[in-house]
Amino acid sequence: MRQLTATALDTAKILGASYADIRIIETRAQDINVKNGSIGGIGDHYDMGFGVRVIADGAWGFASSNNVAKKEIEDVTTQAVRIAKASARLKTADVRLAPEPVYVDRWQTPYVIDPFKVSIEDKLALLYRIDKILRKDKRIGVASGSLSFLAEHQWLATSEGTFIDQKLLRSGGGYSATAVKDGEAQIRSYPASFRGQYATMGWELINSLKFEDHAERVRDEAVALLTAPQCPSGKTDLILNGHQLALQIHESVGHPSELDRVIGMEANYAGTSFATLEKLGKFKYGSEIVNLVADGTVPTGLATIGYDDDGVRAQRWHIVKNGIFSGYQTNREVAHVCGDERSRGCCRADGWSNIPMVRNNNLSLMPGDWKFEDLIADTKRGIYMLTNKSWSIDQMRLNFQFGTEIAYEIKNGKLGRIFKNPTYQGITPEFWGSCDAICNEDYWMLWGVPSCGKGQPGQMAEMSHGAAPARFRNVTVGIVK
Amino acid sequence: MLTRQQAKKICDKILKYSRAAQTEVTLHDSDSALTRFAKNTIIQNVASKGISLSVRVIIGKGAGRASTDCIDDASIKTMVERAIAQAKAERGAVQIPPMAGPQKYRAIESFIDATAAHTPEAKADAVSYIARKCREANIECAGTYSTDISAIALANSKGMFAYQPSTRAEFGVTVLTEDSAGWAEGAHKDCTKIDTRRLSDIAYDKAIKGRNPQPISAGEYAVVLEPAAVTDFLMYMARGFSAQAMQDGTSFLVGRMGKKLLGENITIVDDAYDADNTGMPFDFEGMPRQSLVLVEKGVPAHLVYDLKSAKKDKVKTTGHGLPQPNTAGGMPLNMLVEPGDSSLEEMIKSTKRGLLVTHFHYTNLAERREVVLTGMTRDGLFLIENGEVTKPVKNMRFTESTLRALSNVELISKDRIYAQAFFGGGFLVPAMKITKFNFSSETKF
Repeated sequence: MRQLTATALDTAKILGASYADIRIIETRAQDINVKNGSIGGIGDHYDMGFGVRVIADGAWGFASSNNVAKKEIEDVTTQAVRIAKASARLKTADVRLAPEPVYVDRWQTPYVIDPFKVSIEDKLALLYRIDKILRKDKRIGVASGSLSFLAEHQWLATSEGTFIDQKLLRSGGGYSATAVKDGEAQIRSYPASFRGQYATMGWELINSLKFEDHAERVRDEAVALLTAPQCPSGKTDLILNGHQLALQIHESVGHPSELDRVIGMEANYAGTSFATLEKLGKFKYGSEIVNLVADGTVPTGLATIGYDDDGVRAQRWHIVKNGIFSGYQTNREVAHVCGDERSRGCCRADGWSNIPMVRNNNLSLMPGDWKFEDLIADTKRGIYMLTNKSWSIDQMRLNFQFGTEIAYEIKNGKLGRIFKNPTYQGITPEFWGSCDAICNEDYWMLWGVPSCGKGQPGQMAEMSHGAAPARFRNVTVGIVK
Repeated sequence: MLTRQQAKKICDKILKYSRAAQTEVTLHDSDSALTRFAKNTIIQNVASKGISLSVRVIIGKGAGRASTDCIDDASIKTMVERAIAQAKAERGAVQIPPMAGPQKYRAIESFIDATAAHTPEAKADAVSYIARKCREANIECAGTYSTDISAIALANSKGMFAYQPSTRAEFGVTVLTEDSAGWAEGAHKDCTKIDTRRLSDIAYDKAIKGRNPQPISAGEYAVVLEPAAVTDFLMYMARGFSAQAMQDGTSFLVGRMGKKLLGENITIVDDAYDADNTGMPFDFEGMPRQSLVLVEKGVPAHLVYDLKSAKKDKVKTTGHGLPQPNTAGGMPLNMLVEPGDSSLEEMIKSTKRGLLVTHFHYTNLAERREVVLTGMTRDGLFLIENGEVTKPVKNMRFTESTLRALSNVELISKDRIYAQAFFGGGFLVPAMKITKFNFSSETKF
């Protein structure tokens, strides 16, 4: 690999690039879905390719190919330099990279059981067992179970001398039951919606989730939702479970704190951010008990790595500290904009064919002091919502609306009847400012978000958000029309 | 770009490696380039090319699929063996429909040389027009200009072979002032049909006119939706037209086929052959893709099928299959709304009090049965009073049933554009005036 990477770096240098890096990536992915008693989807994918990034005449150029061969690397690097020089026609300033030490290192995701060594037969057998339990009730129109595994081996070499050999492994799985009647359809999922829970772990993740222990409950809740009343509309106290909070964090804290978005680099697609530079260190993002920490080192996080695609070591830092906006997510290119001397290590690309950019890191709400049962008992009137179903937020990350699969009425400190189609709306800092109770670490879990879209061309990235259930006062709920 | 003969040669080689009873190969050759700009400068300029191969096998009741981007013999053999191992492990209850033999396809001309020859320098030139204009005005622009060249080939062990090359160009631009934004987008297989300067001027004018937006209260309004604001309604309806969804009981059309559901002026068709649409003449099972009226004058008329869902309903496939196996069944990928006879100007003139919407942002499904969507307005929201656009207003969140909205369409434009939905997919859509449309909350800008 060293010889191949050197080809790119040498070619770029000869052509006048002031910086170059190459990522050679080998990927294996496996996805299996069982739906209603038969295969709903199956795939085993292998690929290998490379992407070359250069700075020439002060501007970026990028090109990639799936032909990992010396001549092709030379040609693609030449193309990247040509592209950079075309970009440079319009530059207003040269690209500036924050300094980072040079590393020559190896890193890999720790795991116990290689999921690619678990037989297809065993994987299918698990999914069919779940399928059988879910479809015992004829009112279940769709029973769907999925397993997903990804192994990535990346070699990163930069013209500064960094060479990183990094192996990442990710596993995921889950299932759902959709109950149907006369056009009405209601879904319940385990352990999370949208194909389940994901983590940088091996097959031991699937073992730990104990799928079969929850299948009857999931099925019965989906059926119960068919005849449940609609979530009422109005303002009330709202308790969110960890999975829904993970999405709340992702959309209303993660994305607005991506510094490239703040300075306008995502303006044509997902928008900009209200968390503008003058707010850093001053703005009240949430109540005093709200602490949101970004962490590229947390075990099992989907964004947990040794080094990002800039060659920056993974780190841990506050985005919101005691309610005050305290930090951004950055890469080497934008770090200086907020006055950071060093990148936070948030630069990642979706595979070899895409250019790296700032992506959400693992970002979590730190646990509080409450036991969950005490939090419910302390709530006179409210709604408890679980398991994300839909999400929408404005282009500056202020006005949001979320929907969950199920909600429980809270009356006089007790959980009561269920509601269907629950939704809630808010404005980001007002919402986080209304947080007055967070459950303790016994209830805290790191939830995987395996498909976050950003950029043009669009790229997917994965990250995790940890949360324990938390309460928010006087929130608008029940907006379905 | 692989020629038909080259693609067939690769497919035939892969078919020879398989011992399975039935084998199908999908080949995708792509060469894409994108220039991305923001803050009046090019921030990313990327090019990517490669060949993706995928093989599906059927052995008894088992199916397997494997894929790779590596086209050396060893990788291809490994790919085939993995697919066979999956199929042998599968003990499903449902018999998979057999693969189809050779088919005849209608011709679609979708490869345009000018698009294939487009250069990074030409993209930079297009961007420089709006970048310079914005710099002079001390405001900012952002956007992308992309070109894609691709070829898809399908082949199976029963002799089916299909091949379709295509090109696509897209230019989108957002102009931002200190308190407003404007946007415009164009997409076509022929890059010469995209007038990047005109689109840049539209986005620029909207941003300038949108300065100093005034607060406005949420509530029900008449709306004039520019075409791009209509696309998301189609995106969220699309899945409901799948026969598989109907069979599962999850389609919003359950119990509604053949009954009036939308306004009489609404006809929705799935047509890959429309000259302004972008489609393939075959589906991902190699079956000829049919044009189909999905909604005729407000009445849901047809569902789309793949081989599996067609077998269950004892009908013929309509050629809307996705790569198998999949959970969705058939899917309409080329939806369009039949045009009316009105114009945007006429819609505005006819509105006593309402809102002119450029497009929506981050729409999502809030409730399935009535296809209730929620999302934000974006890049230009203007108040209409007594037939005139009077002032820009701050953005709002809408929460509205697609079925209700499309039952209250007063006017439809005769002009249509190909517009992309927020989460992907594109549709050929006109502008619409809707008499009642619900905005559920405001935002701060």
